[in-house]
Amino acid sequence: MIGQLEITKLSVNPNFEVTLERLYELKEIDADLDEDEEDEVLYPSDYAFSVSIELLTQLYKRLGESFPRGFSSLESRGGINLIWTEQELDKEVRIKVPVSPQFQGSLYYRKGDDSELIKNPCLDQVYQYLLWLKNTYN
Amino acid sequence: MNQLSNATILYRAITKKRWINPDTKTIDAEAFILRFLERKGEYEKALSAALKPEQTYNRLSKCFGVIYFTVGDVRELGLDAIQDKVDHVSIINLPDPETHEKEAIDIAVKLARKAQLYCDWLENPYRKYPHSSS
Repeated sequence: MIGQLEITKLSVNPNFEVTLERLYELKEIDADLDEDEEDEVLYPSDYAFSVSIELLTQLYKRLGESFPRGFSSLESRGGINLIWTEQELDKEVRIKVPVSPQFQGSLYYRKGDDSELIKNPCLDQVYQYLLWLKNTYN
Repeated sequence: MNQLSNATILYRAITKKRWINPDTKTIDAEAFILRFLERKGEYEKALSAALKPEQTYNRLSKCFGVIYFTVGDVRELGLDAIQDKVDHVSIINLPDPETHEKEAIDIAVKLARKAQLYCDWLENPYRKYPHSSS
């Protein structure tokens, strides 16, 4: 019966939505800034942006409801930093998506004063460290 | 210029909104990583700071707030702060973000932890040339 039909909205983890929205904000044109006047890159490259979207999407496919809320910032060459922090555990994970394939990406992870950096990490390494971020035992 | 004492307070403009973590409102390491200067084709050699808050942003097109820390905070990390103009202080000896990426982030994380927000204009940034469309 039509009256009993319910449209089920697909449930999307809000942490993924927010993280993705914050990534898109990096592409928004800022009317207060003129690229000709500033001695710095103001927006991420198309390469960095598309790789970041693909990375977040692949991570969400794996993590689902466990996908943590993160944010992104502009890397000064025009790459993108994808950043997740866990303040109570004093942990953070930072992924640098480079401006172009000629540059290396990286994964930086830190707990307290102990940190490591992995050059050109694979998807599985990023996935594992996002799981580690919320893990209270290591 | 006179050598700055460890107790001297330094101010730094927040030129990127995302230097502040939107969830925790804490200062992100990116605020203390040397930036690539496109026209020069190289990384800046030092971070800019000032002795008065208004000196940090009065030449900027846009500013999202001001953070502060002390010269002692800088020196504890093996860096130094040199007053090179009346209205400008350079924070020197920071690692190159390309050749010493891990060290650059480590130092930036530590400095970000020590720094505090002096004023937060994230939602209503200072603009050198205010426009009516905002």
